[in-house]
Amino acid sequence: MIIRIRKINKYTIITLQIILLFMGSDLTYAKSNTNDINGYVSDTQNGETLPYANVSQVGTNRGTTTNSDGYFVLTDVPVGPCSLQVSYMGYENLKFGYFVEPVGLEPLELKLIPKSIGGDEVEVYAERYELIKISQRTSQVTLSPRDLQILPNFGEVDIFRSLQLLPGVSGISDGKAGLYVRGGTPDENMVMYDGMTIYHVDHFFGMFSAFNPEAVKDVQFYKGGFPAKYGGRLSSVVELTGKEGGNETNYAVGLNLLSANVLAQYSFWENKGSWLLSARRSYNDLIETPTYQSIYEFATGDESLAEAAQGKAGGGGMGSGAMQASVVPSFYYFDVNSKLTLKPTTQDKINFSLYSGRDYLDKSQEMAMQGSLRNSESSQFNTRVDENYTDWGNLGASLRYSHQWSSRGFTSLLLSGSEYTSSYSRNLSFGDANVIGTDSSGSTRGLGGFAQDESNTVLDYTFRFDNQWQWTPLHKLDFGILHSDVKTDYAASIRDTIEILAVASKSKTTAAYIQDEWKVTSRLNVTMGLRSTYDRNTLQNYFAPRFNFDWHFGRFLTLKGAWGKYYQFINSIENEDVLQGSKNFWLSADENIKPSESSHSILGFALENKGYLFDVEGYYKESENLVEFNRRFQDQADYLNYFYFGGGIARGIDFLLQKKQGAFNGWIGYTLGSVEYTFPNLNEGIAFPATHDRTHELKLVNNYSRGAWSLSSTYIFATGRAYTAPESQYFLEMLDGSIFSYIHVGDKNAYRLPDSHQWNISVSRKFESQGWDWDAGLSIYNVLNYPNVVYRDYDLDTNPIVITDVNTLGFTPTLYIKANLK
Amino acid sequence: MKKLTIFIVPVLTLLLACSEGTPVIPDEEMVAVWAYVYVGEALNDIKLTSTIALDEVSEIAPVISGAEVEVVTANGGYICREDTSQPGIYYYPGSDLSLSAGDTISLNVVSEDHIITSTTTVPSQPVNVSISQTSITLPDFSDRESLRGWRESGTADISVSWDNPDDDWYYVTLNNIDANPQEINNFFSERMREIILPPIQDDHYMVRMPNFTHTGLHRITIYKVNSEYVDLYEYREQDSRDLQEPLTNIEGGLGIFTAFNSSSVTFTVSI
Repeated sequence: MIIRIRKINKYTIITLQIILLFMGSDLTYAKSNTNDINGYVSDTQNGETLPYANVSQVGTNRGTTTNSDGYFVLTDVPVGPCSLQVSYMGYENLKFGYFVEPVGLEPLELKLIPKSIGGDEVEVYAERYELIKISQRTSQVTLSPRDLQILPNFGEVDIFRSLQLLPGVSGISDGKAGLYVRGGTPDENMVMYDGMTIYHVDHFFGMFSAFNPEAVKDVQFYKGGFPAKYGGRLSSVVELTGKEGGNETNYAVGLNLLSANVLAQYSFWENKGSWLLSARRSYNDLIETPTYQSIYEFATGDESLAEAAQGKAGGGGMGSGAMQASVVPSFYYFDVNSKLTLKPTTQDKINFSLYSGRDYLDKSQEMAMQGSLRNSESSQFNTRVDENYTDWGNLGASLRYSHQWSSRGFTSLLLSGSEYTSSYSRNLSFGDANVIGTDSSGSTRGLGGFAQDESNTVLDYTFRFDNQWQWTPLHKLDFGILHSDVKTDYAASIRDTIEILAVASKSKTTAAYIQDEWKVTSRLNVTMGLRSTYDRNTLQNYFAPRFNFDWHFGRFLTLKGAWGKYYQFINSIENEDVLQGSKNFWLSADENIKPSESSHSILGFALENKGYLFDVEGYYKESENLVEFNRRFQDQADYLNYFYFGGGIARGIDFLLQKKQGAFNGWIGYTLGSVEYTFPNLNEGIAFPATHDRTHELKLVNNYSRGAWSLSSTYIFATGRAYTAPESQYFLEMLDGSIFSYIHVGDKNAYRLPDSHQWNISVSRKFESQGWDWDAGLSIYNVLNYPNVVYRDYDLDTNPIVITDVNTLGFTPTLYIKANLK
Repeated sequence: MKKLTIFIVPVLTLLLACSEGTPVIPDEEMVAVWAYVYVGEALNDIKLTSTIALDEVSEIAPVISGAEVEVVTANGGYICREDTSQPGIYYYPGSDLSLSAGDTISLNVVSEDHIITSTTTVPSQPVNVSISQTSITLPDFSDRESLRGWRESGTADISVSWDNPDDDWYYVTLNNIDANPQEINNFFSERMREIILPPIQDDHYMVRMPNFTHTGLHRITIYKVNSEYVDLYEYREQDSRDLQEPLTNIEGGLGIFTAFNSSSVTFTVSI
């Protein structure tokens, strides 16, 4: 009897101790001669909490970062006087003395002053000023959107184009959405906005981010080797934290020659509630401003952008049998962000966030040309009409509740839903000719013409339960679970009636993770973690260990590295189209399309002092179960006549040299890399370069600020990306004597588009008026008017054939002006 | 100077790093082969042509002359010659090339920088080829009653059959081999004297009245077809959107190299 009671008491005591450790009183932790310092870091002007701010005790190795709610805790700080320092990119460092009491410390409210890049005080510009901050942690970068405005832009900060200025991130788009990070494809990036997974991440060939930077507070970017709390993607993580609206009412409007945006934020309930709304829309499809038109024509001597998009595409003879044309598409986009924040107590917060963004792209062309259809000389035509429309977008919402259990324990619950839809429609026909009739397939659309339609839908519902526990000063634990329910639909048809493919799939995954950030010594930090995901389709558990370290030698040198396994349960599959440029669609993994997996190995070093950073990272990524959709080799497909499975290897080395300080600052980034795929049933099993393989990328970012003025320049060079091209014609005779002609397509991705050059400059100035702060500037995109080819379009059904280079924008100046209510 | 780097470096990089990429119209040339080998017949059906550029408006394939063409079997190599009257077509002039079912034949072609190889296997001969009747008398086509009666007589069609337990592929040809054929006056449209039918996966074929254009001795030949020809035939029409090409068994080139084995039966058509 006595023994039984003792056992019960022992287990009860242990259980209670665990509960108290996490949820209970701070007295559980405090030793008599130490105490915890905790609090919140926020912007002194608008009250926005600042995530991932650095808080450290001066003269010690005791330091931490704030969490997503701006909360921090320094554990077991010796009682007595100490000096604390808080730093966050884009803000003045805060250093202050503090006396640590043995008990009863109240949470601190630390307010940081934003650094101004424009103002009356010249001395401000001698301060260290960074646009990006390379973390000492492997492959992690912090961006503060408010400071990116000095970079060349279209009148508004562009988060993803700013990320494209980093080494290891593809800098010039190629007609596909998103970022290509260290050889990965855009679908391999987990892009989260306030916890929502976003599938539509940019507008118009990557020219503009789908995220209004006015609504974004912080961006954390992991180029690889990301920790166990993140999963479901192979390459990288982009975590965007939206603004909450702070403790003041504010309005801002912005206008440039291509788009307009507004922002409004309200505070209520005695600053316990706030609401932020931002919206943005391009309008060049509605209005081509005379100012813009005249600037464009004066600078280039060409017709304006809109006129070019109407189909008066430049063309030229290439020989008797071919005609080359170019087209710059017409487009518009919009996005809306809304976020409601409630803080009923100092320990609780509720966020409701809404996001909607949409793109519409018109690449239609009407070309006057004399020609005939291939294999049908009698079918003459005078006009070639190509109707080509694409629209795609994302609608998402998230509800998040967070609770601070104690100074060391924090919990967040999140429910989110995200819907992505896209549709593509193309109709090619020939006019003013004797071509209308019925072709061999029975279509009355017209001989040689065709129609093609594709649609894709993704529905993503996710629940997350995340916890953070500062166990000891040396160990910070993160652990949690995630459940995700994803449905995808893809349908493709030609000539309105012939269905090529209709695929629907569902994926349900449940993941659990745990990771420990361990200060092994004062110079060595190690993060170890494990993530396990159960997939209800394959009925398997996928274990993903993660390891990350940074080791400091002396004051300047850091050796760092990471290794990890990664799994992905939804893929953006490339639909190879030799003639029109490949497109992508989303499909979730199931019993037929297995989850993709990859392993990252990263090793590098950084030399850093107050003014300069030299960072080098080499990476090696091996991937399996990649998927491609291809209609050229149906008999050899792995699944459903069109799906092919294979693997890839991405390897390379990133260099970054950054001048962090002074009125003149910036960086040079260079990547040498390769991405190679091997699909056993494609290209005869011979390895081929990935479509996004670019051997060299060089990026130069320069900024100079003086007084209220800023001058900025970005230059990106990249070797041409790979593509598959129709190569030649040939003829074969059947036994019955009939002769057929064929187009021979070259080896997969054996050809290269021309190299890309993109030089952008901007000049901006800040000024004030009564009640308003103003920011105005001039940006010039593609100063050299270099024709960067996105993809090459082939029309081989006609004589002469037509080859169209689809380019990004040429020389494009834009003015912008932005006003913030003081 | 630092400020000038904003402008100088991009210009220098642009000047030094120009690359136009690969040509818009590729200039790759390949060899297209169609080579058919018939057991028991002379080897004279090897044709070599070159691919043409995408922007080439001509629809005639340029022939390849002067190539080194060799056929290799287990018994050795057989050097082929180009037919001087038909450039691009190569044949074996000797009579010692003997092929049997199951033999492996290789084709080797060297033409300038192109080295092409291909291998095929001689299929087995069609087995138990039989014909329902060895003669057929056609009616007077101007007499409808006579025509109807003939049709209903059960002797209006000739059936050829063979064994095909494995659903293999065959193709059928019908030739008039009479020394003195007489043209048949009927109300059907003019037909060729030789008919080559598409590959079928069947064990019989019905020779019908419209197939006959002349009287006299006819030969029906049943050819056993290899899979490479079936693959070619099934994808002979290329979809201009997919650009799916016919499968090829030519290494280093395009086209087909295949062998056929056959059995024949004859019948006579009279009026």
